Amino acid sequence: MIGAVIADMLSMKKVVKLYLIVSVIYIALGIFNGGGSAMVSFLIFFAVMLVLASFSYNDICHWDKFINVTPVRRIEIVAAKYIFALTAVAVSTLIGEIVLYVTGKMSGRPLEEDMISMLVVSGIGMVYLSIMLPILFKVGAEKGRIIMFVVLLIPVVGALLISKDPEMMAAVNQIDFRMAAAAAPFAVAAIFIISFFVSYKIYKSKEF
Amino acid sequence: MSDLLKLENVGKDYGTFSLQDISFTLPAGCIMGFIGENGAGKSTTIKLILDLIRKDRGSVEIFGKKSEQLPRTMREHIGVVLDEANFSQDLNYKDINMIMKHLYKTWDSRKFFKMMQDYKIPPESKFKDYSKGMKMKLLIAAAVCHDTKLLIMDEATSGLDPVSRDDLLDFLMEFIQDETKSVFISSHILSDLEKICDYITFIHQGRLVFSESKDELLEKYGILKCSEKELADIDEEAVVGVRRNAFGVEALVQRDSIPGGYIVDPATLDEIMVFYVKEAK
Repeated sequence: MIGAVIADMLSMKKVVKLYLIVSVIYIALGIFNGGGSAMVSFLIFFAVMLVLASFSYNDICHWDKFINVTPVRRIEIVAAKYIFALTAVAVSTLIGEIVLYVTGKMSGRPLEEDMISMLVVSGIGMVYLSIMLPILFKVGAEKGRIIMFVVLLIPVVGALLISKDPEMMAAVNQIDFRMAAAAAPFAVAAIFIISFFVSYKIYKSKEF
Repeated sequence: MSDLLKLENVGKDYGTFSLQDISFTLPAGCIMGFIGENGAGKSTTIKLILDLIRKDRGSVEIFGKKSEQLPRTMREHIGVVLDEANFSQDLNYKDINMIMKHLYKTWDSRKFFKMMQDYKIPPESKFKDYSKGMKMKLLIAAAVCHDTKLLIMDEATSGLDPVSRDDLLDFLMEFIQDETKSVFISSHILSDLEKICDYITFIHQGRLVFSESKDELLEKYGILKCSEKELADIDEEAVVGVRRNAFGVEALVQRDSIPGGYIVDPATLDEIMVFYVKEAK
């Protein structure tokens, strides 16, 4: 499994360097524009894109054909992808929180709201990956790219429809957001784990 | 354990193509050439051996165990060179070493680096910058620098220049000096296989034509050049295929069924395959 994780990380090193350079530019622009969690939330977007790009790279070099003749088991191959995803989001979150903390201290802005917002965005990123990873294991990167945009649109359209419906808005306002916030990490973890088992079920029966 | 690879009545069905009753055995210490025209089912057979696709019928045994029950640890002993490069284009060979040593417990980094030096592959160059020959040499090194007993190569020589091919053949001959190891190689360059193989397995349109000792095969078949009248006098059972031209006929025949008085030239593997595919009765 470690070999599969290392293979992903080494294959993506050029893309990671590019993302880091772009991230530094975005962060610098964000600092000049007054800071806040919006300036670092795109780090989660980059992390998600990095994971999706790793599937493209695997498809281009027919990596699945190769790794499935090695001693690595299929469950380890799937687990490696989830570890890569978790690492990408965790590292992006950590960088984002450090940047927010430092810029917040420098500007005297209250930190709590920004840092919590960053965690919420990380959670959304993890849920998005939890939905996309089984799809990518099933259809590959090329078809997955199209589905990716559809999946992105669904919550946006859903939020728009809810905002236009007074009854649904009333129901939303009933939600105890403190409890939802407390339950969120567990819900995200559960979705991630369920996603792993769905991906494994798909990958186990794939032919290459 | 004397047979490293054994297929019995292996079959796989796709919509428009099916592999039927593929059976052959590869003993230890031998090289088997696997031949067939494009689309014959060679890559499908190799994928079935490697469990990349599921068979619909029959059995595959590797190291005496059914392939679907082969413990993953025994894959340490299988080296594979596929027809397409499987490493990301931005990796250099140090990166590949890092990956491989975590994929295989028996990975030998020292042997790998020595092979890279012997092949004069620059350490900082990326995989995408390698020539075709360099890529192939790296892939072969990646396939043999763990405890490989069975080396499976799918079209590994395609696109190589004659010098690189000759290097590869030398390497394969050296590999099986240890009589516990075997090589299963598919290739369109039959002259290469004629030089090094102990056995030849030929499939055509998803079916096994023969799986025999190379020397016996080349002894068994010959090319008879004669007139139509002379051909008509020969036992039909002895004639595999016939090619007619302005000067007469050329026929692939079984030598020991041809009566004395006829001159039968040696047949190459190329000729045997072409006659079976194109000119079969």
